[in-house]
Amino acid sequence: MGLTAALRSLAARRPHLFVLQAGDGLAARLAVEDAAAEHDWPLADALAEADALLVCGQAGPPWAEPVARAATQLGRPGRVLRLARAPASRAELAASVRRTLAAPPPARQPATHDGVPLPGYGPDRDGLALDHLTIGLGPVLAHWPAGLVLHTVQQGDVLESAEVESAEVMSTGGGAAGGWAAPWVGPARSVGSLERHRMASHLDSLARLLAVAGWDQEAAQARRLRAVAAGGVATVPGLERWTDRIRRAEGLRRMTQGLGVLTPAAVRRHGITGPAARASGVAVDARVQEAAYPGWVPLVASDDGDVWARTLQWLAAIDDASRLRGDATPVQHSAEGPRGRLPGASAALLAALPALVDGCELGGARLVVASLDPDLDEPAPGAARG
Amino acid sequence: MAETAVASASAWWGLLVPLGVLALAYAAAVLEAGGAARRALAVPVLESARLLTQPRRSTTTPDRLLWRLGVVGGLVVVVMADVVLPLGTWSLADLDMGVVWWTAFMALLWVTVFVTGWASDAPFALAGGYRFVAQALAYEMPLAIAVITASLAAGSLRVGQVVAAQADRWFVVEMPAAFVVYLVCALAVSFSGPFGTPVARDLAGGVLGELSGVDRLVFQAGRLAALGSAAAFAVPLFLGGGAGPLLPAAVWTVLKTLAVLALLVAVGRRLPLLRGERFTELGWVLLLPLALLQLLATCVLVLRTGAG
Repeated sequence: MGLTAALRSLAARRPHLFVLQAGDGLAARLAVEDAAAEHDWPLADALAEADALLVCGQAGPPWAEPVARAATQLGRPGRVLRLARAPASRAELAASVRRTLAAPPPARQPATHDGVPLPGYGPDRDGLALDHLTIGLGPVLAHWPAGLVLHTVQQGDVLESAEVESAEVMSTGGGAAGGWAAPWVGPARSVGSLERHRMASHLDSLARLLAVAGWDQEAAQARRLRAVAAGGVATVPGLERWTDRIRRAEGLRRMTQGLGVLTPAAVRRHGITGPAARASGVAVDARVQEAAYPGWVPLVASDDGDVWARTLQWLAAIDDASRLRGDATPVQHSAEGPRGRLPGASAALLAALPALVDGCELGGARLVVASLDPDLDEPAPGAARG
Repeated sequence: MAETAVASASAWWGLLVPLGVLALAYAAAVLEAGGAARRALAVPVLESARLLTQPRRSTTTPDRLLWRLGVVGGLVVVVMADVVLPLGTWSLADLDMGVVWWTAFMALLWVTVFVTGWASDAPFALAGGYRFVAQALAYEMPLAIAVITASLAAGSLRVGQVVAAQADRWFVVEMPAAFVVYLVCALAVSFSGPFGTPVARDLAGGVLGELSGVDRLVFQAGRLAALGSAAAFAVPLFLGGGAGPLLPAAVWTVLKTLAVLALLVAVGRRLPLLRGERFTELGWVLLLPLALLQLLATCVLVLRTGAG
């Protein structure tokens, strides 16, 4: 019918995309986000809102079941586009998305489920007997670290306990591409190149944190700055103004202060390094001992150890990295990745995570996870350096 | 006795109230889209087309009746509330308790939003419903007090008389604190801007998260209509209704409504989300005392001038 066709053609002009980073899908996800920003296609927060699911990366066997379930929950069921690697051009991505949307809908499967069990009861923090809801966060969740599955028990919307599912299970690429840590485990590079990657990594983490905190405009700006920062040696226009604006943001500070406090004792117990450790006052930095960084002093922007301290730490690290972006000193091997000393930086963060989110309200727990932003594609401890 | 400044129109114009509400919702959507004008005007149209062609989906064990009622209820409640809003010097129903009518119907949003979250039987949607109720508890009192302050100064609950009482001086000048409290609560009523936690990204859409297709469209329309209605109610209450030079009263009403709506959306976009416990602090510790102080000041003013 003419009206339906007209509506469909209008609908195809602004599809909402749910972007899922599966194993080793970092490059593809970044390319998709940049392309979506250019075409003004919104990134969906929920599967029901999305017109298509974009699976970025080599989604191996552990991803088959979550992706299949997600495909049935989409706003338009069955529209899944798999991108094993970054698309060659934005036009190619646009064409693939349009093809996916235009595909005929799959035959509707009859819903098979054995009924939903009633939740159990248990005492909550005030001693009242409340329902225990077992809810898994991830792996298919917007603005969530790729491959992380957090099994939680909630009462109301307060997390009573949390457990991280084994990280190796979901990052099926085996971390072969290395995620954000790739430049540090690859062949020799220059200081400037490493620092630009660090800047891009922190901007990506900040974009995710700001998105979870609900500050859309600044999250979009962070993604734009990340796209430029990863590009070349030139100054990123507006970066300093932007970091200043976030630093002075009263609303964000009040929302995140006092949340997810990582004590120095916990930092030492789990072996956490990098910005998360420095934000708790533990001034460790592998670059102190490296010849390519002469006279390096670990920077501690704030030592409260909460989400706001980690945000400030990232902002300070971005400003630092921006100063060094043109430095051409060659580096044989540097151990200080964006999340800490490699290997094992993200594994340490994951070990500390359950204790940090215990007792948090759901939104607060999301902020805590976003402030740590572990990268499950990092090479696991014990993996050979490439 | 102050006479009303608003004449009642024929009841047949009531058929146009839903259209007016949808026009307000469209204006709110355009302002929320932001950016270049052509794009902002097109975005709500493209979104509506997209949602109209999406299939409707459901969760495994929803409470179907309540879910439908919750989704549609928002728009219905706002249409009912808007019958007392005057357009210029005409009103569809200038009820003698019009101010209470509007507040009461907007309070029904508590039920529709919570039920939408609860009935879908999904944990994130339920958490979104909890957040909305916690927020509503904090803003409803300051909103009611701000609205009553205007009624008190006019000596009547009839919207037409509130407009008439602003013949010499608009209430925004006489009671600025009440106006500010009203604007903040207007944003909270429609869970927009910094008060958008019930539909926030960290809950994967919250109350909206399980809705797709026409359900999502109707719920979003209800939310935007609530924002538009709150902006429109500020005009007879604080901004003198249709008063203004040169242009007819109806045009002034529309212009003032759009101005208030633009102000609300612009301020809302610049701020990050205010999480539940922070907003509760804001509502009880700042807004409520401020509204009460303004009410006290207005009482004193009314007694001194002997108006009644």
